Amino acid sequence: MNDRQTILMVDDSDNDLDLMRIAFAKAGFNNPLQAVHNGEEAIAYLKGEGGYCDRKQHPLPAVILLDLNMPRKSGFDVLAWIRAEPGLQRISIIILTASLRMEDVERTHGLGANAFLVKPATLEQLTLTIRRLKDWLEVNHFPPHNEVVNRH
Amino acid sequence: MGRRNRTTRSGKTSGTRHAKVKAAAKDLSSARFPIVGIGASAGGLEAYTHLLQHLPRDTGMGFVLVQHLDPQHKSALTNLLRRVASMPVREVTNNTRVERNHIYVIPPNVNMTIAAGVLKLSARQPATGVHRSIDLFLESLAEDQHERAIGVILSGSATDGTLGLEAIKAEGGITFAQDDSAKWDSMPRSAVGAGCVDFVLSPKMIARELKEIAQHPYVAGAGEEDDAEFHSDAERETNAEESSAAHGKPGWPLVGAEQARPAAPGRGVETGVGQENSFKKIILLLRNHSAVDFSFYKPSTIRRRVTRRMILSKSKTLSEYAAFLKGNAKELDALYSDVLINVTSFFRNADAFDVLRQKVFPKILARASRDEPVRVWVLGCSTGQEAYSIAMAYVEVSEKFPRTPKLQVFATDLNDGLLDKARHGLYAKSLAADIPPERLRRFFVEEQGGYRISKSLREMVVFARQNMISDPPFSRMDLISCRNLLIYLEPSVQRRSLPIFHYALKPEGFLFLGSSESVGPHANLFEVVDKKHKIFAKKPAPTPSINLPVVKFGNPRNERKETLSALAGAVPEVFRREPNAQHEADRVMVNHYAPPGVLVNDALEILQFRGSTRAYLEPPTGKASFNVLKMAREGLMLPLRAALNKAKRENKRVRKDNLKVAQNGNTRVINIEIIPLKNLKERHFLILFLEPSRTGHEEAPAAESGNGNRHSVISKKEESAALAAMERELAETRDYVQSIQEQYEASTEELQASNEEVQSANEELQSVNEELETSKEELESTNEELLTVNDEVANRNADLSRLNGDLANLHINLNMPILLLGRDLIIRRFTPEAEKLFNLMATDVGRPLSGIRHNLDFENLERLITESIDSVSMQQREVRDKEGHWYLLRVRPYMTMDNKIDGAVVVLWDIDPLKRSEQAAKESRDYAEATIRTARDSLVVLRSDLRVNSANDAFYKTFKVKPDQVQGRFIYELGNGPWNNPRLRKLLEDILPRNTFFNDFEVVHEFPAIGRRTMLVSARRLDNEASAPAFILMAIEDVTERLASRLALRHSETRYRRLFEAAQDGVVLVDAATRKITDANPFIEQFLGYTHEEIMGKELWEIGLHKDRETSRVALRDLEKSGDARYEALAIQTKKGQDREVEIVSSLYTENDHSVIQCNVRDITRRREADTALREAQRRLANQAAELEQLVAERTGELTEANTQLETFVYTIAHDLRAPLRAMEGFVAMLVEEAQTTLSDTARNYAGRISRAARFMDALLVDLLAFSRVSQERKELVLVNLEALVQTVLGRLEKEIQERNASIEVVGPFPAVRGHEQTLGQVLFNLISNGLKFVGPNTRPQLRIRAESISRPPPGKKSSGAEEEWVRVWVEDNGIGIAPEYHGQVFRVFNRLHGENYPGTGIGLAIVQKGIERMGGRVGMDSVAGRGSQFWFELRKA
Repeated sequence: MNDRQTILMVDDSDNDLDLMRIAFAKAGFNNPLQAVHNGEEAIAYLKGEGGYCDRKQHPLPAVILLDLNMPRKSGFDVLAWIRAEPGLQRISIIILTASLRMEDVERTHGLGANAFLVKPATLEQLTLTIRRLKDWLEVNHFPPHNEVVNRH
Repeated sequence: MGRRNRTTRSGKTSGTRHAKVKAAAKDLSSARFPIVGIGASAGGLEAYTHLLQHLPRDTGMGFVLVQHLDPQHKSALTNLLRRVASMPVREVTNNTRVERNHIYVIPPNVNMTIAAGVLKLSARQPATGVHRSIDLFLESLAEDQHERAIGVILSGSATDGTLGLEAIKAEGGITFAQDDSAKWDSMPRSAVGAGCVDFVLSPKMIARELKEIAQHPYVAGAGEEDDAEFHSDAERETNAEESSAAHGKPGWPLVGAEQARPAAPGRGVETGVGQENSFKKIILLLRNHSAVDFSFYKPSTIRRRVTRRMILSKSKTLSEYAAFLKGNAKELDALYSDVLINVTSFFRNADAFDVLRQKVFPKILARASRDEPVRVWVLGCSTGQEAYSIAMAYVEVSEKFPRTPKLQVFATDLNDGLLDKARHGLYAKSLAADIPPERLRRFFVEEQGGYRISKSLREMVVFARQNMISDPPFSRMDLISCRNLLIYLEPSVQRRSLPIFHYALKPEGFLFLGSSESVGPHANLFEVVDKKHKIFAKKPAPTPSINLPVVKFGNPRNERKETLSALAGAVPEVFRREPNAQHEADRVMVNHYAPPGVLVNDALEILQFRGSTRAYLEPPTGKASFNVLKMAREGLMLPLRAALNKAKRENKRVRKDNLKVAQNGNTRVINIEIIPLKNLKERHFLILFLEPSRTGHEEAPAAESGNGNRHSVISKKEESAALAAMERELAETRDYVQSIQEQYEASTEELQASNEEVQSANEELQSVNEELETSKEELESTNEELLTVNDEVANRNADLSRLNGDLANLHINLNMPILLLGRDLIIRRFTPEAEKLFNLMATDVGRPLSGIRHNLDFENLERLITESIDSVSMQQREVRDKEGHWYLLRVRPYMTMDNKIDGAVVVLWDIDPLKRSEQAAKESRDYAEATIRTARDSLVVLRSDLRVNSANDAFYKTFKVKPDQVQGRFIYELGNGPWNNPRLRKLLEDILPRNTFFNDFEVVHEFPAIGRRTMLVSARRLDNEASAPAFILMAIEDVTERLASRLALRHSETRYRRLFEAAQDGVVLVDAATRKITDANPFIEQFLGYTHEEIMGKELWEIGLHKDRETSRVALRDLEKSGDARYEALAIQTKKGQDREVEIVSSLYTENDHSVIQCNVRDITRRREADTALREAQRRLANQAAELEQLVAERTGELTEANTQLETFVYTIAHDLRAPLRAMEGFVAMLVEEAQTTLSDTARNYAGRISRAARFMDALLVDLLAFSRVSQERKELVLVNLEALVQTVLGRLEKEIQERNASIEVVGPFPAVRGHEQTLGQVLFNLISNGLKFVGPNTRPQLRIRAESISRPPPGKKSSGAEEEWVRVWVEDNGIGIAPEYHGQVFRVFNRLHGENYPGTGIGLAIVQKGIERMGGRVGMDSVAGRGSQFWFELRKA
């Protein structure tokens, strides 16, 4: 993953979004970040509908950080939708949610999530987590299509 | 045409061996005497005796006796013969040399042969079926001694010796067979039948004949001959090709040999010249008689035969024999046959036939067309074996080919007698030795006299008389077999024969010669196919003219001799090439009458000069050249060149006239003509130099000489014109004559060729004709025979029908079932009685018995019959038919008149009445015996004197005595005298005189063996058979036990009655037949309120036990069917009208032959009431329980609802409450970071507190969440590897362990447990992290984790016997410990015992307890404050 590829964060908490941005900055993770606040917006963004029709402004993400517990459409809905959408198969989806429930881990992996992270209690730990995520993305290899999709 | 096959000899005889034999013959000149081989088998001794008795002691011959002897025993034959023979008799040992005037006898069990006059013995091959020892010896004798071999066959069975005699005869020896004086005549008869016997005589006469032969000059003198004298030089020469055979072959001194030895005085042997004349005379006589000129035969062959005939005819000299021969047709025939004698056999020299099969026939078949037959010519076919062998070989080979053209074999011979035999194709049985069985089966039909060639094979062969030397040959043959024929002919004839064969063969046809024959100088005509077996193929070379003898039609046979002599003269011409008359004629014509000319080629080189060209051409000077232009004389060259050029150019005739040519100063005028020769490969030109016409020619000089006498000129002119005309005419006539001559010659040539063909065809036709005539004669004679036979048959038929009539009448009158069966159990005849018994019909005659379903109740009838036939014995069985009628079945083998077994006779005797009365008698006897034996009572039979005659088994058993203690004793003295009772004595003694009887006289007695017994004695008179005195039958019945049981019965009845009357159930007995009550006990009377009298005799319904009569009837009938019945809860009324409920159990039993129903009636009124009350209570209880359950379910629902709400609540708290905490913590951290410099210490302190509070709250929420999860989730319990889990947990705590420098001791092993891995991990995590956390200040945490297996009762059950396997895991620390008063609280939620020094949420141990409980286990602890804690939990062992 190169540093021009977009990361989309989906979370209904502005606090959490801001903290994540801080953590991204602290972790030296300089990729462009985009944020939406619920499942519906996430789907609209990915479809390029409404305010998201300009791909220059809202490019397709290579990675999505997805909260589960959200109003309107939940993280599960978004996940299921993406995995049914032929053009979006190669996006890496990382669940980032407040609590650890084994059945949630089970279910999201079943739906095709790539990783499951629990939001840490402190900013320090969050930064550590984001740094690890960065490291993980850097050392990982992704299929070419993933790269192509993400260059749009 | 004579033919001897000696391939067996020459095939294996090498030169060295000849030399050896010859040397041996020379050394032992004494071996030159006749050896007589005498063969006999059964009946031989008598024949030998007669023969030897009459033989003088000095015959000069040696005798060898070959007798079939028992191989197991030493032979006494030698000793027996010694007594009768005048000569010494010896048993042969190996290598015995035969000497004159000795008799040699074969020892048992050996094969004997002779070689060079020495007898050889060899072990006989075991398991050879047929005795052939005589054949074997005689064949070797013939081979060894040739014409000095004499064979005699005496009495014996089978055919041994026949082949031996044939061999001897073929070698020129003399043969004898015993006449009908032979005891067993099949052996001599077989030899006579084979036609190889010279004399058929009695032994005595044989002896006499032998004596005479011995005295014959040639025989008597033979022994003195030296080898050199047997074969003169001249003869050797003639025998050139036969020499190999001739050398090893001593013989009689040959009569008529050119250098005859001086006549021995007194022996009447004539001089050489006289002999020669006589010999010629004999040849002439033969020629006149048989139309065969034997002068083409090697004289040695003929002479040997003549000598033999002389000996047989007792002629002392040749001239004497010649005189004897003259006009003696019989002797002439005999001589003729002898000369042509041969030995032949099937597949003689089998290797050669293999070559035929492998190399020759396949080729012939491959090129043969379907329509044309394959043609084979067998010369010198003799008795036909060779021809048939070739036909057999052909058939065998041709089967493997897709198309098989028919085979036509022309088999020719000179000897009509032999041809007749060949045509009959009947051969002695002995041939089976030469021919493998499958071939025998296939090509032969076995007949009385031997084996006959099968019809299909016979039809392939045409036999005909044909003289190869004088008769035209056959033509277009595929194969010619001429084996061992040429060797008997003069070499010149041999040479002449091969072109004939060449002519007769188709292109690439095959020639098959004898092994000592060859194509000689005609290698250009034949190429070798198989060198060893002398098989050749025709080369495509032109056949040299064979100059076929011309045969006048009409009477060919008689005319032959003329052509023969003509042929003899022509022989030297045969091989000369015909001078080419035509060419010669052409040459003469051209030279004399054609114009001179030259033939030149394209280059004008002269190729040929024709006629005299001297006048026109001359050799050029200088370099020699044949160029015509260079050779042309002066004046000719230019016009010749021009003419040649023109001819070349135009390719046609060019003529130039009036050319002047200078010659010797003269000038001649000539014409030239150039003729191009066409149709040639190269261009050639014929240049003709023509003199101008004579007139022209004359004219010129005349003209030159000026005018002469006119008249003379004119007259001369006329004259010359006339001359010229005449000359021209002459020339024309000559031409014409020439052409006619040519035509004539051509037609003559054609004619010659056609003639040859016609003659061949004619020969064939004649052969076939002859064959047909023979067949016709045969047919006629067969017809004649048939007529005779028919008469005979008619007579026999009459006899037979009379016999048949007799037999039929006999059968009918016999009136018993008789069945006649053939060998294979075919029904031949049966009597009318048999029809019924065997289900036979007239049409069943000829059917096998096995196909008949007979009425006899007897399975193995066929086997019995077969057994009878096989064992030649009578078999009999008693059998019954299906209706039970008894018969005696008797099977005898059917003997024919000549005592052969040919089936069986089955006779059935009706033995039914006999059988039945026998059975009745037996039955009544058996019955009586059985009665007495089986009687339970003791029976004693007493004689009239009251002594015991006999007693039955029961008696012995009852009184425990043995028969010898009883029999013959006086009745009163038996035992200790039980029967010695005055009253009994009186009774017994009265029986016989008064004819009384008595019954049941009681005797009570103390018996010694059986104690006190009560006996009843009866006795009566027993009438025996009429004459005998009567017996008394005394029966003794032991009634002791009967009396005892009667008493016992009485007791038991009393007991039963008491029971009946005291019973607390009602009992009613009913007679099943009348349905009336026969008894009732007091209880039922009381219960129902009736008196005993009221109940007795009533029916059940009448006392209320059944509703009404109908119900009662049905119930009782059902009871009778099923045996018992039960009615529960039956409502009845007592006599007083009280309602009662009863249970009735009825059962049926038999008492004294009638059925009794017993009804037991029980009052169940009270029991019924109690039952009802109980059921009511149960119902109420059930209702209450249901209500309770309902309540519980409702409560549980509520609780679950509450629980779910609580869970959601806790989850929400944990989840959603953490978000603000994260924000608080995060932003406080950012605040501190952003306002690093501007923030006061106090503010930073506050910020730190906010941050810590937020973190603590988060930890609290996380734990709460974990606790909630542990308590909510239902986990399926599985096998957990505890050991691995401990290590995993320790790994997760690695950081803390390092930070606190803790020491962890893990003491294995950890048995696997049943649990939930994640929960158990959490439990271990909490316990271990507590251990790490709660330690005193400055204390290094020390933990020990261990496990133990324990047995304990399952939780929740109090010490019920079964214990289970559990695992208890300990986590022990050295921490601050817990005071005992708090032990009860540590596992409660939020219960924290320690202050801020030991941060914690107070949920960890609660999770531990909850988790373990959810897995069905339990937890506990053991701790003392300050001394560490020991936490444990227990789980089921997996």
